[in-house]
Amino acid sequence: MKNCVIVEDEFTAQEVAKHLAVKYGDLNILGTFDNAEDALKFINKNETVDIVFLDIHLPDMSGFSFLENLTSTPKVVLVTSDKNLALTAYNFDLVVDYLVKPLQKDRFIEAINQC
Amino acid sequence: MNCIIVDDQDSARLVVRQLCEGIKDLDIIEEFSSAIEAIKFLNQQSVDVIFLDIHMPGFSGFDFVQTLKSAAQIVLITADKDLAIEAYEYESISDYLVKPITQERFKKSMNKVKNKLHRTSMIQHGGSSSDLIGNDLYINIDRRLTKLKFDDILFIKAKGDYIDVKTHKEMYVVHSTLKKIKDKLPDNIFLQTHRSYIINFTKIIDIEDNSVLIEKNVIPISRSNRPELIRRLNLL
Repeated sequence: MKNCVIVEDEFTAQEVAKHLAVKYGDLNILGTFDNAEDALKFINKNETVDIVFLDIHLPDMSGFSFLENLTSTPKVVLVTSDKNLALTAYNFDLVVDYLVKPLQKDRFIEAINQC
Repeated sequence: MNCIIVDDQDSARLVVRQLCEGIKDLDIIEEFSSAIEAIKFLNQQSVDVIFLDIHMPGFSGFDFVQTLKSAAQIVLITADKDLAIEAYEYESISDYLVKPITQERFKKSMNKVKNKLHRTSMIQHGGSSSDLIGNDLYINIDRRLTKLKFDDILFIKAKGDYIDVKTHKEMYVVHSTLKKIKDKLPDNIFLQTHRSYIINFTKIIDIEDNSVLIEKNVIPISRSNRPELIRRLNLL
């Protein structure tokens, strides 16, 4: 079973991601964070994180700055309502997929299968 | 790595060719000015990487990706910044490069492709692909016959000219078709649930309306195959 972390400041989106991760991804959720700083601290000292679901627009920093500050190498699935940043996302090797909110079950499963 | 370039503009192909020259162990084996020609070629020969333009007359890069029956990694090369989100819809697209492309970015892209090819691993293969002996299936990987126990196979997924054979530990990419492998598998434990999937139904964890869960993989069940699956189950 793979371990994941959800980084998302919007409550509803957090709940949807949790639900999909458990029900269809068979993932173990190690933590849910509503800001980048706490999530970074956790992930950087927790080598068991396999997958990070990451919102791009976070209150304290952007998802891309977040990626630059990661010291470990989990697989990252970006989850955002912003369609305009996919090109930037291609510059980050850790990013395996880019999902646009609201999350769709089928698309979510496809993303996890790539992790 | 072997690659091909698909772009309708001569000058654009030249640029890619120059970028490729800066990369060790990357060989251009052919160039095409139309997607259709490239598809014909790929039906005969497999490559590792395809450099692909998006906007081509008649047949777009995305049409090409959809038509492709190859395990190759695709790198889009375009002047259009607006289609990256669409590119993420395709698993085979590894990268999206916008012109002008620096050698540094290109090199990074090739590392990414290399890693992805390695992960999908064992892609290369010899001629015939599977033979049935006793409780095992031999699959041809890297010109080596590798033994898989039927019982270790979780499911098989069709992917164009290839099939993914998933076991608990590994994913093997084999040059074969679902129909061929189906004939080799004992039908007391294997069952086709969908046009693209055969499952080992002793590995099922649970079943929903239109999907089954096998380990952590969600496998679709098509309406026409569902009755057979239900019939085979020991239902309370």
